[in-house]
Amino acid sequence: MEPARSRNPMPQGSLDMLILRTLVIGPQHGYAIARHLHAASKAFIQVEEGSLYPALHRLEHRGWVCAEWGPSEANRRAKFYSLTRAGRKALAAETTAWQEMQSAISSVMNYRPAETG
Amino acid sequence: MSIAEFWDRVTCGWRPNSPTAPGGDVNDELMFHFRGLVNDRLAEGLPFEAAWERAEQQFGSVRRYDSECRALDAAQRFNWRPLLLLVSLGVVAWAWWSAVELPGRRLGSELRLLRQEVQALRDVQLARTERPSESPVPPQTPAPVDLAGAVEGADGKPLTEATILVILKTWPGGRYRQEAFTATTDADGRFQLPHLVPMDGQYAILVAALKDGFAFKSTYQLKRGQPVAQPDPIVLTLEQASHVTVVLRDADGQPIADALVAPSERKSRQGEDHLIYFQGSEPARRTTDAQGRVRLDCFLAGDQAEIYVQLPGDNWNSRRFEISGDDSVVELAASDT
Repeated sequence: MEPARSRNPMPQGSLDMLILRTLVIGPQHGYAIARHLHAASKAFIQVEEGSLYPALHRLEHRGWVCAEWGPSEANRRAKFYSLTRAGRKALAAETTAWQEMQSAISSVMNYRPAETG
Repeated sequence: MSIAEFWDRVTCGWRPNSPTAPGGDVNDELMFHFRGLVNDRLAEGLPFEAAWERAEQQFGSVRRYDSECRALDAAQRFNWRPLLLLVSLGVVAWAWWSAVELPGRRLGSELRLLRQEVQALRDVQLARTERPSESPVPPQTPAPVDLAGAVEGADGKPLTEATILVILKTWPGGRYRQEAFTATTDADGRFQLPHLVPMDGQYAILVAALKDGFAFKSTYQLKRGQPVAQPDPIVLTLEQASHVTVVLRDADGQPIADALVAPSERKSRQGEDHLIYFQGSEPARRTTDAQGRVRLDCFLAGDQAEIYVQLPGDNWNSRRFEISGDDSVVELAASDT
């Protein structure tokens, strides 16, 4: 049997942002969200897929996503999550904060003393 | 909280099918995902045990995530109910000021229900957190159990080469584990599976006996305590089965060849329930021929039957039907599976 691949750790809090970003596409169940994260990250993100669910439930309780049961592609009963207006606002704020952090980290990493003088 | 956020919460949180409503089921949600992972691995050609193991690695502990989600949901219910209570009080106050008849009795009963629910939630959470320490069973070294039994026909004669499907359920460290084993009866109709190893004092076994032309049967035993109890001797008496042909057709009525079919459950007229778990059901699987037909001579007339079905390139599904007579043809449409 193929051994389990080691998982790449994600920055804390980024899972919520990635879930919200995935739901911009439209309502999706947890399994589809996991597949999207896997495909869109070119298989780099290797979280335990079960960890999506506490995150989804937490986002739901914050009012950032909203869920409804419905039939899946294979006509099974599945729970579909979708973004709320509050979720879109939160995603915009998180995206801005993440871009700022990314820019700040990039500045530090590219820092060269010669450039400051 | 902004008006938009409040409105989101009202429209989402109070929907009848919302997961925060009592109808939502965390376990269903998680098992939908886990089943998808298992099916993906099966589609890659892995055997069931390997597919299951890979899905467990990919998903993590279903039990742990189920508990986390339930705890979150319980906490949420606990949080928004006081808000509801405040709103209720406001309505009562408004009614009183308006000199309308007070709904005090109803409010009193709501409060009682609320208290009961909160207490029940606390009890459930307490039970979950205390369960590991409640166990009086001290840690121990694994002790093997020997499973043995016999299969005979209704005439009392031993049935040779009957397939024995065994599911062993254990709870090592509080985590559920399920393993499948297979055996075949010898010339005396006997089978043995020595050295099954439950990792703690509690285990359960489901033993099913299958033989072409005979209605399958299963038996279930749950054992707990120290020292590890040996299973009771098992004797399964199989009756001659009815002839059952299942025919699978697509939406246009055309036969579906190469679909996999396996018996899952039979509930007899007498109310006896016999099961074959999906895990370990490989020896019981049959393939439909070019006419979409497969013989399943393992049910009795009058049985409520359930079978597993996998159409080519599709996921496994289950179907239920009644065995109408001694020579039945059951037509199943793809859209029903």
